[in-house]
Amino acid sequence: MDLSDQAAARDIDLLAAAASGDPAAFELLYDRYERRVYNYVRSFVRQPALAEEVVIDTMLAVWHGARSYVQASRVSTWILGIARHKALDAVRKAGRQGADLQLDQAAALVDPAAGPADDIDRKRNAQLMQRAIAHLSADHQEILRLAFYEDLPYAEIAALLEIPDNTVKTRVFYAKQQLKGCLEKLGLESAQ
Amino acid sequence: MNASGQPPPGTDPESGEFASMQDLQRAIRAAFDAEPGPAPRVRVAVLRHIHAQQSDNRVGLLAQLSAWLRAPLVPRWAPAAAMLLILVQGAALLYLLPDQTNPTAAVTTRALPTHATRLRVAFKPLATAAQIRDLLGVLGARIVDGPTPTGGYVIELPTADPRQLGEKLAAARARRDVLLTLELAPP
Repeated sequence: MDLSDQAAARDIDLLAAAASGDPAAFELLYDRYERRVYNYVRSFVRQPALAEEVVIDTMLAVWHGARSYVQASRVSTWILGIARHKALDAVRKAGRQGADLQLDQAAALVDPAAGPADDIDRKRNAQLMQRAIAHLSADHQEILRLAFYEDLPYAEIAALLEIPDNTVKTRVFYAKQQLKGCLEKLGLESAQ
Repeated sequence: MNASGQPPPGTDPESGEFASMQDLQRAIRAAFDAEPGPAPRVRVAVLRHIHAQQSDNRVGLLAQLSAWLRAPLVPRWAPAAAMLLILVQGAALLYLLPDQTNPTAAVTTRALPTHATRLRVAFKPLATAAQIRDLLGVLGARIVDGPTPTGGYVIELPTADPRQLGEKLAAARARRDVLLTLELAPP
């Protein structure tokens, strides 16, 4: 069993305990997902405060609906699916679509508490990547997050996004192409 | 290579693209890892809601338990059963009570009508108690009154058909050694 499977199994255990009313188990599950859900929601919702409200709604829905989880997909897919619906609802209610973040906004995404001084290069690279990702469309940001960060299988991504498997593959392909282009552009800019 | 040990999505492990995609995936992961989380108030709000709900559930469970324990003591059918009992008791009283439209019928008297035959007898002065008991045994009678100042008694015979009564009286009168007189007592 690799790390991903172990994490998935751990998620299932925690969710099952939460379903039986164990708040401590839910707390552990919450800590595993809070940041992931928040940043996934930020793909759709620009305002941080609104995104936080969506996180609250999502995690409470996870708590209340834990018994309805049937292991048809990973826990992460299930939770992110809830978050996605909540986020899209929030966007609809707010009357605006989550537009691509601008470069100056992307810079603000860097965690101010990140790494010590000797991690400057790594921090700079991460910042560059964040800015490049922020240039992508919401669809491409989302597909990169689900495929590369959440490690979700294509089939689960397809189910989550309600699109065919082949669309997932092509979207991943174009997202990578777009990302490479953005990185090259930003690399040149930063070199100048 | 991603965390699940699989090649990054969209790459062929045999191609030269694989290594660069590994770097790309690592970079993407690092970028997402560096994203800030929500404000601490989010965690506080969620967990506060859950703990509050837990408390409500505990109170609800206690209330349910209390109601369950009290249920046998105060069953819902108790008022209906009490009403039914009252009706049954009322019906029984109406049935058992005497007819109040004829108050005299309810009066009991010491002079209950008797269907027995009463005889006035006098025994000979020398008759023994054993002889008298023997005679009473023959008649199947018992002394119900007496003795009078003149030595008379009233005895009572159970109702019998006239033929048997005549035979008993004839047998009694034949006991000249005991019986002095024998006559019907007035009702």
